[in-house]
Order: sequence, then C-alpha cells, then structure tokens
Amino acid sequence: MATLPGLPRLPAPERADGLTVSPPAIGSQAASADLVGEMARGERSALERLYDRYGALVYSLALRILGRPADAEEVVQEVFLQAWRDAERYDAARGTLRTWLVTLARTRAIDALRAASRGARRAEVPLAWDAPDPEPTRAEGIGDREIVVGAIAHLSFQQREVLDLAYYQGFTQTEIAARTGLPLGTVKTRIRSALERLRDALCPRPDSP
Amino acid sequence: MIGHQPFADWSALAAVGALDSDERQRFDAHLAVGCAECERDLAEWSAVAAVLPVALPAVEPPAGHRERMMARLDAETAASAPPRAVPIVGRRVPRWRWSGAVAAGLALAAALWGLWDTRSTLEHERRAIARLEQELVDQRLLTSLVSGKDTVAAPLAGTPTAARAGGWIVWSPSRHAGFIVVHYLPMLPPGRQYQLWAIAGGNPAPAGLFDVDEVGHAALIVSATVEQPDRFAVTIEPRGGRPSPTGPIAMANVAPIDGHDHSAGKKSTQSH
Repeated sequence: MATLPGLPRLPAPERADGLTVSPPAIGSQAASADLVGEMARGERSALERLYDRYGALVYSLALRILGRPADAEEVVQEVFLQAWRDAERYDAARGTLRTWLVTLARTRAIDALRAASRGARRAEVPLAWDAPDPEPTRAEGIGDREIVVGAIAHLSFQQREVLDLAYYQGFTQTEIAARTGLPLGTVKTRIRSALERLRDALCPRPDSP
Repeated sequence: MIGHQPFADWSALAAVGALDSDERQRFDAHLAVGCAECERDLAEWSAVAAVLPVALPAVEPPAGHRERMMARLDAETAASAPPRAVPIVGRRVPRWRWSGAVAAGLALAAALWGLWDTRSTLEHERRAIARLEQELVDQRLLTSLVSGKDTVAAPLAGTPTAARAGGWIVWSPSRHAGFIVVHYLPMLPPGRQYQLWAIAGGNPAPAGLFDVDEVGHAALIVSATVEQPDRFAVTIEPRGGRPSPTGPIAMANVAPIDGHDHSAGKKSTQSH
C-alpha cells in the first residue's frame, strides 16, 4: 500500500449556488503566476520551466487526440509558443495555469484533428480511460493521476462515453446525438451531469457527505 | 442578467467543446457583451474538464523536443523583433518566415541537441526505472480498477467523531483491491493512525493504515482479503494498526456498497 501525494488542497470557498469558486486544485499551482510573469517579461528560461512542468501532460493529451506522435509534437510546440506569446494575457483569477494550457492544447489538437480528417475521420479509438497504457516514462504527478482516475470511476459508462466523444474526439452535441442515436436533450444533460459528478468527486464540499 | 437564460446550460457544453460551431459563436458573442455569470460558469466547467487529461497515461515527449521548441522560439523572436515592446495593430506577425537554409540549420542543430540530450538523460532514466516499475504496478491496478466490470464506488461520510469528513472508495471485488480518497479528517496525535476496514457480514478485515495531511486529505490504494464487503469504515487506532477495530469510528460509507447508478448500460454496452 502506498500513500499518494498530490491531493486536492484546501477546501474551496463556497458560492451561494453551491458551486465552488476555485477549480479542483490538482497539482501545485504555487509560483505559477510568477512563471507566467517571467514569460511576459521575455525570460526564456521560464518557458523551459513551464515545459518541464506541463510538457508530458500536454503531450499526452495531444497524443491521445491525434494518435500520431509527430502531430502531437507539433501541437505541443505550438501550445507552449502560444503560451509564451499570450503570457501577458493570462489571468490567474480566471483559471489555473494547467487549465489554461490544457484548454489551449485541446483546442489546437482538435483543430488539427479536424483539419487532418476532413476526408476521413480517424478510426475508432477506445475510450481514453480504457486505452492500454503506453509505457509511462514519467513519475511526477502520479498522485494527481490516481485521484482523477478514481474520480472518473464515479462516472457511469454513458457519462464517460459522451465526455470522450466530445473532449477527446471533438464531436459536438449534435454529432454525438447522431452517432449514438440519443435525443439531443439527453446528450446535453449527460454531459452536464458527468461534469457535475466529476467535480463533486474531485472536490467534495466540506459540509456535505 | 438580461438575455442570460437561453445560455445558462451552455457553459458545461462549451467546456468540453460540445457546442456546434454556430452555437459557439453565439455563446462567444454573449460572453463578449459581459455576462459575468456565464464567464464564471465557463471558467469553472473548463477547470473540471481540464482535469480529464491528468488521467491519461503520462507520456513524455521525445528527447530533444524541448530544444527544438526553444529553437523555434528563438527563430520566431528573431523574425519578429522587437517581439514584445511594440504593439502591432491590425496585422498578425507572420510566425514562420525563415528561409529554408535557416530552417535546415536549425533542424540540424536540433537533431544534434537531441543526441546529446538522449545520452545525458540515459543515466537519469536508469535510476528512475526501479521507482517507475512500482508506479507502473500502481497505475495498472488503477486503470484496471476503473475499467473493471465489477468496480463499484461508494461515498464515505464522517461520524460525529469527524463530522466534517467526507470521501469515497472505489472497490473491485474480483481484485480485492480499491482506492480511497478522504477529505477533512482531523489530524491525529502522534501514536495514532487511521485504519480502514472492509466489513463483510459484520466481520471487519483490516484494509490499510493511513495518515492525513494538514488539511485532512489522504488517498491510497487499499487491499483486503474480503471478497464482498458490504461496508467500509475508518477507525482511529494505535499507530501500526490492530487486527480488529478497537477505536472510535471516524468514517463509514453512507449506503451499502452498490454498483454505479447506470444499470441501463452496464451489461448492454460493449465499447470497452
């Protein structure tokens, strides 16, 4: 048995509607603002440190979406270079550095996927969380991964499926409805309930069971 | 907020990229006029969605990738100097505007860098292998736990001993193993430790010992000899644990261990 590091940190302050103000705080956000500040001032080494911290995460995401290492490498470089160019515009109050980078990366990777597959879409891929493990080569962040894997285990198969179709395969709700034969309203509800359950598993409110 | 209502449900969809393109444009326009509520919701759901890739098996970019990126940065900076001080209005700075010769030179430099980098990291990687092997075992277990057909998840709640505590357990009966996350458990005095029990038919079997950090969090892989536990409980025990519970119960699951609430598709869907 192992005690695992990298747990969600302090309870987030409550809002009246019950949503938490801060996102699930997976991973260290300490010094993130400094890092971006240094990038905005043109300090080259700050980009290297950003890459060292998030390169594997961004690459894993791009590889999951695009499938081909060469395509993923290209997207990762674009993402970090865009982060460099846009560092002045990063606002820590609106989201963590990791959220910012992951969102950038997902958008770019999906754009690349769409551009590459206008003619033929990629062959079916297994759900992200059921995919066989490539040989992992990085140890850091393993505690975070376990937390998130455990949280995803709270989702039903149907919830995981809609998230996978949207997030990793780039299908819109209308496309998901067409593919799965579900009513559009069900797709909407399922996506929302999946995110709600994920949030609650990651960041339970202190006063609720 | 006037005009907010039609968009109230769109933030979650936007966060996972599920809005159709015309919807996304309308939503962006709505955000642009300053709907604070939607902006806040979108930020929140985006943060939740951005957690998803953390669950992916972490794959390191290939050796030399970072150096190639930095070479691109330098080329870009040189091509668009001065890069930051002068705001350029009305036109985009072309990103790739180097000659073929410069590009070829950079590619060669990057390749050489990659070689050097590979050699220098070899030793480091060798040292990490033993550690990785153990972590690989843990990762495999977790991945199999999540994809296992019999895996169940159950919330845990604090007793009056730890009223604020909460958490959950994921359990695979066939593997006799699971994963527990707890929050807001009080820190214990030295000499005491939390002990998890898997209880079947009233008989508790020890399932692991743990400490919490300063904010009461802990997460750990647990295993027990029990096949079909109907309850889990956490008690406070002397450090090192006891073969059967002696101390007060701090947490227990609120409902009997049960499957996911997705009975509709659990058997019928075969996309694994």
